[in-house]
Amino acid sequence: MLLRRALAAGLVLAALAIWFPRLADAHALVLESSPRADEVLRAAPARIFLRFNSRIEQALSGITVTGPGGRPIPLPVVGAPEGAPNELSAPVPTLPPGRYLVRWKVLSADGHVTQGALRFTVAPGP
Amino acid sequence: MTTLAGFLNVVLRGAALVGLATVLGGVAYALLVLRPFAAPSRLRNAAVGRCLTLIAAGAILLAGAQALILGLQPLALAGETGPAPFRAFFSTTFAQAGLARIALAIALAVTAILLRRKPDSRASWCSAAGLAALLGVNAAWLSHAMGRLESREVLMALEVFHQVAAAVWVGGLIHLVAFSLLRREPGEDALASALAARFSSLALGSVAGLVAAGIALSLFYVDGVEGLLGTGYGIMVLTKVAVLTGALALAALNFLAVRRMARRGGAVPASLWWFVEAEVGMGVTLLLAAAALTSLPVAADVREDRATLAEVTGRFAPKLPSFSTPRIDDLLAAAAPITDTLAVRKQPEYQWSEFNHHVAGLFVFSMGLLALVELRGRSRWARHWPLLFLGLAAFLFFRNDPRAWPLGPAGFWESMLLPDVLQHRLAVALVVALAAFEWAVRTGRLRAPGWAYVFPLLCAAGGALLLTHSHALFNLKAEFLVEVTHAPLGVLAVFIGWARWLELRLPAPNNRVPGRVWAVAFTLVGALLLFYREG
Repeated sequence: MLLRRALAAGLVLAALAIWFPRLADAHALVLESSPRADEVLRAAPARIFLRFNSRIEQALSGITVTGPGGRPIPLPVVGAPEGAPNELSAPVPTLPPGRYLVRWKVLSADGHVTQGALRFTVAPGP
Repeated sequence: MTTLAGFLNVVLRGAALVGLATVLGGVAYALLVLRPFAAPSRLRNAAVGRCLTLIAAGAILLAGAQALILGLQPLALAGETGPAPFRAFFSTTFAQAGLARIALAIALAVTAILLRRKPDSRASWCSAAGLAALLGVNAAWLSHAMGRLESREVLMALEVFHQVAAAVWVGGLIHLVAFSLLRREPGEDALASALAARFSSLALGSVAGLVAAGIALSLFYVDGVEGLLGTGYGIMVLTKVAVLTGALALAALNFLAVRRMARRGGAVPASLWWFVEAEVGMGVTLLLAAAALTSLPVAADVREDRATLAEVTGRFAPKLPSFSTPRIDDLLAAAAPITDTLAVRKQPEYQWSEFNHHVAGLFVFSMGLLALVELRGRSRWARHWPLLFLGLAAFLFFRNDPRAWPLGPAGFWESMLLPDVLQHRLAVALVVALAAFEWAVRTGRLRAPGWAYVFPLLCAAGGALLLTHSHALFNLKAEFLVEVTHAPLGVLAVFIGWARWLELRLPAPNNRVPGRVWAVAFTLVGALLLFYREG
């Protein structure tokens, strides 16, 4: 009897394990960014700016930029100068022309860790 | 780590909500329904003892789930930018509210254990009520509202009202099922009747509060019909409404049964307890869906990625199933390697997936029809329908992941490390198990009654979890349009599970209606898969 119950419980748990990984946190949403997603820039951006739909714990947020070399560079994250609780800004070192991937990971004030990404391109000079 | 943490976070938030419901619903049920200070009797004493045990267990579940949530988030924040920031995390309002919840839950567990020894202590019951009230209020600082930029205080108050009302209803149902499992001796029907009548009034008030607060929250979060139908958040709200409607249909039957009982006198009908079991199942589904809802951006904020009504209705417009599939070589030439998790899906991949859904639909539709034939009772051969699951499993085994073994270049073990592939292969194993068990049950090879509940439990659990969404990093709208049809599939699966449960619980001929409900819903799942489209 115990073995049967364990087997039935195992089946239900297996179902949970199979279906639940479909979930992924996408709680905090980027409403505005600079550069914009898939933007082609004539010059390298001086900073990355992100405005979210919810309050963000700025001290616990991280932004990286990955260039053609493939190595992610962590950027020093600062809050927005105006003190808006839903904005992040990060100064960017000089970037040579190429395609870049910005990844961000933040903790929203209601306790959700969210990550996201956007791509932009720095076009070669004339 | 972050994706896994996101998955665990929702699981744990779901567990915390179930714990919170068991605690808040338990205290309300004990004080307002069970009334521990009324004249003592053997059954009342046993019921109070069981209620307190459940409250303590719920509080421990709540504290444990919340502790794991707090431990997990700093690990999820670790990564390319540094190690896990435990110190900074525990200085946030969210973490401090979480610690307060843990302390309150532990205090309530201890109070419930002490009350078990001295159940007539008014001071201890007052403490329990006070701690439960504090737990309810504390939920405000752990809710969606904390992240909002506007009307935060109003939203926090509405969230508390919504959560407490849901907890009192679902938690009370859990305690009512626990009571129904107590041994009752002849002459003890009066207490059962009184409990059913009193809980009926409490549930009515709770559901009214739950719905009122839910509508008010939707006014802030959903942003009209476009937000309701064009975003993942809106669709999740609609699915919650659908499951709530199913649960309330059962509640209405019980409400009428209680009214009849009050008019005519007599014992509580056995069917009332079985309906309550199914109501608990749907109530817990609602709590899990609520936990998943918190992981989605609210509809009012989704502007760029919002689908139009025409795009959504286009996905549900009937279209003849296509039974032609792209060649594997063409698909592999167009698609990015399976390890590129940021790649945008290409046209052949959508066509491949549509074909998979259509063939799977053919299997499920056939099984649904055969199940209906079996219900007519004249064709014994039809009871072998679960064997079609084996054909479905074989099909899925080959077609699920064309970019991985056995059709694609990624090796068996290499692709096993990818969560999607691992998930698909486990799903195939599960479908095989489902075929074996349900077939053995229907053909009398597995005679122990417990085995018959494996199928409905798997359907109900799977449906509850299908109600959630996955989210791509880049193409949120495209993913939403792919997955919008999964919501009705999830609702139908929940209904299949609990209707089949009732068919097993109710005596003939009362089990005919739920029997037909689940078989028709099963057939409808097949039809939805047959008409599924991704483009």
